[in-house]
Amino acid sequence: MIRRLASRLAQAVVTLLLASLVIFLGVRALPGDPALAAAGEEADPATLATVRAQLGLDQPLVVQYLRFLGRTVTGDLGTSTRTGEPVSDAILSALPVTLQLSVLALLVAVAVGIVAGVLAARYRGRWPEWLASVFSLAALSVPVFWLGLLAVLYLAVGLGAFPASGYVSPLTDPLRALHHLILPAVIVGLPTAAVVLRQTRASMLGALDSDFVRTARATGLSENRVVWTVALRNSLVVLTTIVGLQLGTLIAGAAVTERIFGLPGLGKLTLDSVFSRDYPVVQAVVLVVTAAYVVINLLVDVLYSVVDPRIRVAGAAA
Amino acid sequence: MPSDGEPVLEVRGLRVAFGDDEVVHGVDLTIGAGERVALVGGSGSGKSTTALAVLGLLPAGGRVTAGSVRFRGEDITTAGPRRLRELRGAGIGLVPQDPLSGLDPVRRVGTQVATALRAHGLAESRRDARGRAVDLLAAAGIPEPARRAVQYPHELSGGMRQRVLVTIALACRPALLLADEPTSALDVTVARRILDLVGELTASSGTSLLLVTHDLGLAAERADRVVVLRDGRVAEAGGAARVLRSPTDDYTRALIDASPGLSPGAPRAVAGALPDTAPVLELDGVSHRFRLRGGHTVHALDDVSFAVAPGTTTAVVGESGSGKTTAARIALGLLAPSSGTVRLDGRETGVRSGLDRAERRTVAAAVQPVLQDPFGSLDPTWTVASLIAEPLRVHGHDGRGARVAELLDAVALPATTGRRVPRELSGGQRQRVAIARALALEPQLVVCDEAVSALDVLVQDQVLRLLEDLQERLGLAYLFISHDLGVVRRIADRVVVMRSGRVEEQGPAARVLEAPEAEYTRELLAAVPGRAA
Repeated sequence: MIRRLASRLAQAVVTLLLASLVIFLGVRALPGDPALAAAGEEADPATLATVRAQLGLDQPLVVQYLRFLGRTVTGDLGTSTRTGEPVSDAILSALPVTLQLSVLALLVAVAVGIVAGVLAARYRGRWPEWLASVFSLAALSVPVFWLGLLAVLYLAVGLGAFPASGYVSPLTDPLRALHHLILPAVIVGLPTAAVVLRQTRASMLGALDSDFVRTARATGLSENRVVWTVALRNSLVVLTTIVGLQLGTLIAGAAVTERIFGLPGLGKLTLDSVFSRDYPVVQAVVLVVTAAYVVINLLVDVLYSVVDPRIRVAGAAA
Repeated sequence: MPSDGEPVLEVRGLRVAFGDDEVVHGVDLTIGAGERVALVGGSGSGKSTTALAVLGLLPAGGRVTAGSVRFRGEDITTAGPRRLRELRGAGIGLVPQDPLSGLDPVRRVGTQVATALRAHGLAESRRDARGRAVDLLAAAGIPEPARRAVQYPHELSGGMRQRVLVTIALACRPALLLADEPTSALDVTVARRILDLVGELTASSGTSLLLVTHDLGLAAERADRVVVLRDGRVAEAGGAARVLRSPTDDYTRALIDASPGLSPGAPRAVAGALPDTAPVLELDGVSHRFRLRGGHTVHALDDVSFAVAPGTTTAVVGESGSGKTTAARIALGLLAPSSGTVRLDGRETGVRSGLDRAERRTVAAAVQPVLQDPFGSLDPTWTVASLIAEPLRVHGHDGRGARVAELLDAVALPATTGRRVPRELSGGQRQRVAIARALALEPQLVVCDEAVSALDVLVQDQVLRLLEDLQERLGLAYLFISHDLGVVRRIADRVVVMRSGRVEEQGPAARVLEAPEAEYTRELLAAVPGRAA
């Protein structure tokens, strides 16, 4: 188990290094000269050279990369060319918003998806399955931004049931924070709920048809227990994978929703930075999101062995 | 054992349909208290369906369309889910066919036994249930039951898992035990012990037994009465000894004749003088080690030597883990041995470094496989003709259409079969396709790895006949890997008995099977069902 964890951890570090290299090179490949952008269009060649030397752009790429790496590891993500403030500050204030939104969306999606998926499988060929398939088709095909706009228009502005925009930290007022976040979370989470629903339904159908479920039924377990404990427990392995992958999608999907609901998260930060060619911020955001992805995958890997004892032992023998 | 008073189970005119297809057409079946009845038939005879219908556990789409099922006088044909639940486990227990898939892979085995107890309120608390579960596992002959109870199914051997399933089925002391092919997935010696266990436990508690099996020999050995099913109808029913000795039905007779255990016949006479003819295949001091992660090595083969003479059959016999499949893979050139030499037609192949591409092609053309699972070994999206033509295409042969027709004819399949896909064929037909495919490159040696194990006795008999016929016509040599000594007796010229990667004994079939020298061979022979009958 520990060995397995260590090997996964090493893999994660290598992945992060590779990702940082790709991001570093990607930003360098973007059109435009950062020194020119920093010094201004009218700067004379001498000033330009000084700025370039200050930014370290006159060094070989390898040196530049190693410096970038060193700074990143020590938490120095550079300075925003738009605001002149440290990038790390911008990220630290935006990251919690996006994380809260994504995790809340994930919770909503998993709860709705699993319950609806299990019911769809249990009542196969009857109305719950029909309803679930209509729901999942709709949730996957209706664009999030349109749904978000409708929600703001009717639920927030029209009914006044939810605030139309803004963010409240859960540290100051947890209930109000939830009130602000729940609508965007539901909107972002809907497509994920549909994916989880379909996956749950498929693996539940497989499990309900399996020999061990027949054994459980033959011992006289009630159908409720067969469905919710035996079959669902066996479907969790597949679901863990899906949920892990979906969290990445959620963070990406949050960009649009944050804009609609006026939430100061990573999505909004990225959009603002891209439009103003604030490359240090873009670079840092991509790096942070990548790191989040890698960490989530690591957690999913660890979760596997909790969910499936067969993996646990395979790891122990390794 | 004579039945006294009210029967435990009484099935009258049972009809079961899947959609519009009726598969059971009016089956009658009565089981008295403490009586052991065997339900026998080939695949598709409706035997498992009948048994599962009793418990209301038919697979999706199946339903009882007519007839009645009475359990201790109570009509349960139309019982609601609540009543059925009370009966399942407490009234009627089920031991399923496959111990590998019958247990929940993510729950500890002790918990699964405890769940059965608690489902019928037979334990006061979780703790009490766990304790009782350990006692029951001990009674089922599981060593170190307390330690085993907290393990997961994958940590137990197949035999152990089947013991757990027997424990679960009998945990609530049901009046009737349904055992649906309880041992067909197990090695013979393990199967024998499981059947002994079921016999002991049901006898001591007076539980009636319905044993579903395709093996008449096993049925006769383990049951008081036998009911033979054919195409969803009762072909014959009667006392086990009577049915076996003087069957009145042609189908029963065919089953008996085809059963290698019941109609052993003499082993083949020693064919050819092996030392004189140069062998097609020769394994000389071959060892193979698998290195597990973490530094452990497993000796799958340990200094194994045997040979296959042209036009003869050498059978490799052993239970799971004996290394017989590793030997087959080395013969096929799929695996390079860690040490020792493999000679094909006198030429050395398979050195330590493994085969290169050209060598693999040579080996592939001369040695072809027929594998166990006729469902898994054929690509489901290909037509039969393209499946058979594939080896020809790979080796760049022309005139493939004509050759495919020839091969289909050789395995007695109509030419029209070529246009069909595997799912449209029966298990026996698929195995014929696999044989045709193996013959495409005119190999000298065909490696049959449990090639008839998945087939029921009648189909098995036909496929064995085909293999014998092809051997005679084409002078083929077979390396026949099997756990079934009955089948081996019928087809082998030489027998190699393997255990834990070593050769226990080998020699001409007649000598090994009639006068075994090794204790292990005697044990294997004794475990073949039907020998006592």
